[in-house]
Amino acid sequence: MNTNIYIGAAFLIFLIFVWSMWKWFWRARTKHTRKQHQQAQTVIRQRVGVADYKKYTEFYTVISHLLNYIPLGRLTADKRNEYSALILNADARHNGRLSIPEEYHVKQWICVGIMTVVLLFLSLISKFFLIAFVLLPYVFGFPISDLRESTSSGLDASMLQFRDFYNIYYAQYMRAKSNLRLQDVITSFKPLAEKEMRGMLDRVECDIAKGEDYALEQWDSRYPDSPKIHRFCVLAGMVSRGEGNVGEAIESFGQELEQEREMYAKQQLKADEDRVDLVCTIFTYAMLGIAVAIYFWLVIKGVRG
Amino acid sequence: MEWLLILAALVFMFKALEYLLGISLPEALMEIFHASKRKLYEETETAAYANEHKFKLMSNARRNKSKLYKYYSFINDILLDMGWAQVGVTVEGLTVIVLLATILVDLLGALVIKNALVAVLLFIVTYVTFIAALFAFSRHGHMVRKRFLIDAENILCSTISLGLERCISEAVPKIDKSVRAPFLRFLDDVQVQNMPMDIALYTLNRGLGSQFDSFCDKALSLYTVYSQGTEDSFSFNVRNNALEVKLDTLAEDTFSRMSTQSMRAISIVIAFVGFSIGLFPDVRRFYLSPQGIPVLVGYGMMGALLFIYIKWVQSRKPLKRKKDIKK
Repeated sequence: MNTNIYIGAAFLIFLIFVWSMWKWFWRARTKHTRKQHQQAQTVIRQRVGVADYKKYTEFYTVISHLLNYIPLGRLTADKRNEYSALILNADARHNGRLSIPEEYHVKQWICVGIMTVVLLFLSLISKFFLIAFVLLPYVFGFPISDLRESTSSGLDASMLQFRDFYNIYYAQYMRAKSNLRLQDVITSFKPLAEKEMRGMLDRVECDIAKGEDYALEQWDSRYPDSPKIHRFCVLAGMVSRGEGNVGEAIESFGQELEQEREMYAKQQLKADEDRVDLVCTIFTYAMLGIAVAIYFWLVIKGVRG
Repeated sequence: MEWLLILAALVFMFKALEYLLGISLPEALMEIFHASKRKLYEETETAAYANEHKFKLMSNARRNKSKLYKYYSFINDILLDMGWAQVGVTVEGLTVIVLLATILVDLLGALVIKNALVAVLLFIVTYVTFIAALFAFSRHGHMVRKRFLIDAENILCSTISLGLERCISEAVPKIDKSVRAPFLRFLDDVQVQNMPMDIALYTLNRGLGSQFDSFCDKALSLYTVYSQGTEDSFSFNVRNNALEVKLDTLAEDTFSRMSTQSMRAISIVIAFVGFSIGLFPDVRRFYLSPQGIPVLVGYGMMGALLFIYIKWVQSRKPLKRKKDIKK
């Protein structure tokens, strides 16, 4: 009985491995059916339509106004600004248009409602389930956590490329001191950029139509946690306004970025060494433990028998 | 009596088949072997061609995202460092050869172990171990090739203001002979065959390995959208190469230390198990019984996993990681 399960599981794992290898190398051509084509067309039509978006916004705004009657349920202006900034950063969309902060506010309260109902039912079984209300703040942040994660991961990914972006900015600054345009830097960097950095630069490019200073201000306010972007925005703003002599400050910032990169690589090497040490010790102790256990088991058995 | 009848019937059947088809049995078996070999060869060739085209037409961002391309560039680097890519070994060909070798090892292991689950685990572990061993063997060639590539990149980056084609055509005699072929092919592609620039740059990148990734990206951006100061951004590649050389010397020391440490750890276990098998007959009887052989194979697999882990850490590049970067 038991061996049959093992053999079945082993056969399944083997099949999955072979199938994945097969799929990697000999991939069949995908066929588009008529139904899929029609579905894609309807999605495009929905995206264009305004009525759907209007219905969506009205639905969530009405419910969020109803939530004003619950204590602590009101959507304050600070929270609204925070959520809208998160939505802009994560580029969260509903049928091709930007989603509204009221949606996330309503979803939070729906999560809380479901939790309370479930816990009240469970409290009929035993009262100790009511302790789980401690987890309420975690559940309250559940719909937003996805947006937060995507913004922070996007920032991490774009910070890797920030040094390359800064190098092009620095090179163009050395060529044309006061005639530097941010648009030129962005257009020459964009083909090298990866997805997250390109998204960040796209938003800056949209703001440039209203003026370079405005675009830099917006860029700075969109990422309040990152000192690198703040310093860059301040320096670039001073260059575009022609204030003071910023040449040395720009050079020193580039050198700092390079030193940080070197330090980071060295830290990574050291961390690798420590991790390999740990894995090495774990493996050797596991192997030796098994060997010693088998040895003592057999010796004691031999002495007794 | 029955055996004789069956044998006679089989002989008669084969004779009849021989008469009908005009081939004897050993000839037919050889024919089947050759046909399957040819079929496998054709399949790998077509797969290599299809994958090459698929990656050529991909955009740069999408290519970096796909996991298949990561595997591809990793194996391609190994082939270039071993000097097998110049002979004509493709990535698919190597994977097929390694898969056949693992199947052979796994069949031998399954005959000894007689345990299906351990046999399947052995299949996966041996496949990865073969690739890790190839990676370990290719390190020496990698260091030699990288030095030539860095020299070539420094020459190209300092004269990029002439324009891409003219810069490469003037730099070709200064570049070392072992890495000159892809540049000549690039010039042929662009000037004679009239290829689009992105595809020609992609073939150049595949011929030189992942060392030239940033150069090819920048060259493509130079060709497509030109603005003032784009050539100056190439000069940072030179500085970056100097940093990489500095880090490589550090990394070599640490990884040699790591490998000696792991070898010491594994040798302790081998010594303990070997002495206990040699000295005590009870232990010997257990390890050679059907319950004991999977345990012995398990020690080997754990040692192989340690080896794989160290090689995996070594293969990651310290300047291109996404985790824990400062904001």
